[in-house]
Amino acid sequence: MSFTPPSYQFGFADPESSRARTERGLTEATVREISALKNEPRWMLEKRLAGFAAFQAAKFPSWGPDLSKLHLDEITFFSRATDRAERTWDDVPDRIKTTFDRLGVPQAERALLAGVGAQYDSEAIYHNLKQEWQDLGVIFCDMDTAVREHPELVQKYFGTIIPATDNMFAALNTAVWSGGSFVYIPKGVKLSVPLQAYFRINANQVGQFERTIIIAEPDSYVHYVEGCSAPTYSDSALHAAVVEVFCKSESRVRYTTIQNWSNAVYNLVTKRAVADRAATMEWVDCNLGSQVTMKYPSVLLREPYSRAEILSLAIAGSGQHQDAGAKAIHLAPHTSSLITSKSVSFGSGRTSYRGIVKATKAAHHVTSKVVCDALLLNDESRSDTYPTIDIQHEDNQIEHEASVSKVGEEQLLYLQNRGLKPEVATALIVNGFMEPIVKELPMEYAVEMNRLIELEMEGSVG
Amino acid sequence: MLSLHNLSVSTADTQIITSLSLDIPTGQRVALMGPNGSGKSTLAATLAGHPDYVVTDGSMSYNGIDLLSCEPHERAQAGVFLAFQYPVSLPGVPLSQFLRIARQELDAAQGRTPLTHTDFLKLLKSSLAVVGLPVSFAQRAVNEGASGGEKKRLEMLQLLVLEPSLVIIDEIDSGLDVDALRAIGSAITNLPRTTTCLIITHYQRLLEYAPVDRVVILQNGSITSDGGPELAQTVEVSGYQQ
Amino acid sequence: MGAQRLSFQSGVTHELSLRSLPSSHTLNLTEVGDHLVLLRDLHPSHQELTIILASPGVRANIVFRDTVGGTAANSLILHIKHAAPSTEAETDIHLLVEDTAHPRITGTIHILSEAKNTQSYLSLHALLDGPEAKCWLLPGLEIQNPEVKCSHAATVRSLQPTDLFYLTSRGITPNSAKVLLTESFLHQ
Repeated sequence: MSFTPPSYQFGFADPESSRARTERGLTEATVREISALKNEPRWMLEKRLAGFAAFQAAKFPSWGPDLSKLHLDEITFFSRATDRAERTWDDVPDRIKTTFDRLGVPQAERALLAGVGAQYDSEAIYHNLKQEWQDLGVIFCDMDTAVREHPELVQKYFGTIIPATDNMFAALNTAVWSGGSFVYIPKGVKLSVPLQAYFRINANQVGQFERTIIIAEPDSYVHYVEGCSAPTYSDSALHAAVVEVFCKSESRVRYTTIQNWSNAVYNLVTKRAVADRAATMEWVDCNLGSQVTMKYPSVLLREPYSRAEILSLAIAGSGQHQDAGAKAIHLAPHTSSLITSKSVSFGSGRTSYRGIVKATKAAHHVTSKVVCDALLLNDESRSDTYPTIDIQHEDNQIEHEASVSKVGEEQLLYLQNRGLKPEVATALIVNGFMEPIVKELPMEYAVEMNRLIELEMEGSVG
Repeated sequence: MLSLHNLSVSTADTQIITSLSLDIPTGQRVALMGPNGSGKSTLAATLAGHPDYVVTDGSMSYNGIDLLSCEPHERAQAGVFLAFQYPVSLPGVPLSQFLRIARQELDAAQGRTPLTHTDFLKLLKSSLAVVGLPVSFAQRAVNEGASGGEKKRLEMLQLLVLEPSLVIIDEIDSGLDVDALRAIGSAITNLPRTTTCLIITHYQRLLEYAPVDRVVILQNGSITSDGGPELAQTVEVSGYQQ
Repeated sequence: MGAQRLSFQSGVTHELSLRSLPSSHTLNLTEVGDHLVLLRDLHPSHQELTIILASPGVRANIVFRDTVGGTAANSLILHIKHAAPSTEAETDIHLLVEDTAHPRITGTIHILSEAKNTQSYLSLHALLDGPEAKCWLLPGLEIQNPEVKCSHAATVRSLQPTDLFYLTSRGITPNSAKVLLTESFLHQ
């Protein structure tokens, strides 16, 4: 069976290594092999097979970025850490090395981010935190471990918000997932220190098909942070992660993602949360790099007084298309949503905002506000906005605003008049534009983001 | 005569006014004072029939009409007028159009001789002058783009154009400068002697420009004092005491 | 709801009754100067209308105010295409939705790559009046040239009880109050 998209140009070329990689292309045998290699219980194998069946029936989305160069036949869907092709530090492009220098990425992290096979030892750092979490009854481990050690919890929640039938890439993930986080916060526990995905990466690179589940019991709080603003190497063309978040009554979950894939990656992610009575879900989603990103963090406000706040930042440089957005689905009355999207396109980059605000018949006294702004820096840059507003009950207040502009000439002139070089002036303005979202990032990331913009502007202006 | 008897009022989950009884004879000027949260604005809103407040016990009548059985527009037709503390804006609704329709409905309900268009405009123009607002406000959307002070003057303006018999003024003095205070105070003082006034205020400043016959003090949803105008001076000096 | 950004002189007026147009229709504005495009009578089923600002110096004020009632399940896709440089458009859509109507309106501003120095603004507002009234809106932007000033705003709301109370407290009957508010919405 093949999945040849309408037209294709190049296949995905990477040095073959040993048999502990599965065959290219996806077959049922591959799925079984993955489960066997992980020594999984029967129920998880069955979920994977159901995912595979759904994948076979699924079609590529009829909207969105061009996926014609994504040749699924050519992808390896699973490989063990030790069997991956080795990259040496010499292989890493100079530009990336310079970026690490300029961003001040610690030496120890560089190898990991560059995919150069050295392990980053985070054990020492998070050992104490680990003890504290255990004492509180918090579970934080990778998904593979969770399947083994907390099967009843995983079984209860896995695939309940994002079933395999949801979309093609969710089906794919269900079949071949590996890695990802499992987080469980007991009732009333509020973690003051963010949980970092980083802590539980024990492979030498980030997984292609991570599966993450976060469960926040009533009246709990957790801030989960994943990704890195420094360019991150991947040897896979496709990343299709699935994230399911359960916010029980009066809980609050903030999920921050910063992703900057440094090469031609298709980053197609399905992220969805459900919020119960008076719960708050916050998605902070920053998309940089990658060739194509499709990511629409969603919140289903299924009980009264729940709230969604979604911040989306997308930066697309030449050859990149960030198709990102947010979905707030109001299923219950007295719910609210706030969506802020900022996108920057430079070079021939393209950003699209795709969002939905929906209020069903049962959802009255809903307030929602969406603000999406786009900044275009060059003549070849492109921006699109597609915000759907679907309101099925009259008693609601829904607002949406969007604007597109170029960096203002007068602003640039003013700054240059004060002695700033054009690229520094532009960086300052772009950082100011992004500020409402960047200020919500943990401090270190915010600083990195600002520096990253300065770097990017050096290349693009003049 | 406005008669409140054993009135209790709640919002969705809180009781704000408890067993309040108050009689105000026709033409009396009463100041209702009290600390924040005492229930003054709630009482005003309840008299006007605001949907957020529920009367859980007791009765309200005005000139023999049971207000509780009246919708807000019926209360207005009975002569009740509330000058809001925080009036809403109505984009796209010109002030003169709005007042003309209201005046017409009130005249019809009360059996007053309807005003001709010319007379209405004259009344509107002179009222704008009394409250110190330019004529241009007549064509502007109701309260849109108006400052806090302008909104209060606009509430007074409406009162002057609609000529109600029971006037409830909710904290019109908060945030006003001396000139505005003087203009509004004077407008209240010059209302017909038959107009009953309930002036809700936290400070006694306004009362220097709009003297009253009686001061009632509300605390925690109940009346704690009821006396002559000198009561206001006491409050000024020693505050509200439990 | 935001004031109008652009001001227009009187120029050519185009009145289009959407009901009497085919399900796909294009209006080409080529004459330099100001155009007023008045749209009314939403097509009963599905329609795609494209308005093209085809020459430099074309300015268009596109206005569509309508009441959609009954069981209407109309669907309109409106494209405002800036195909030449130095074009300006202000599109203003106000729909009052009553009864069990549930219109589906897409209004997209397209700025093609040759259309530099363009300004385009879209206002898309729906007032839902009635427990069964619904709407689906998609105000879109497709921008291929950065030398633009472009924005849109969309709102969906219902008549506010506090607004109605304010009017009725002045003696206006509930029905008259409703008419006053819905009429002013349509004529803003």
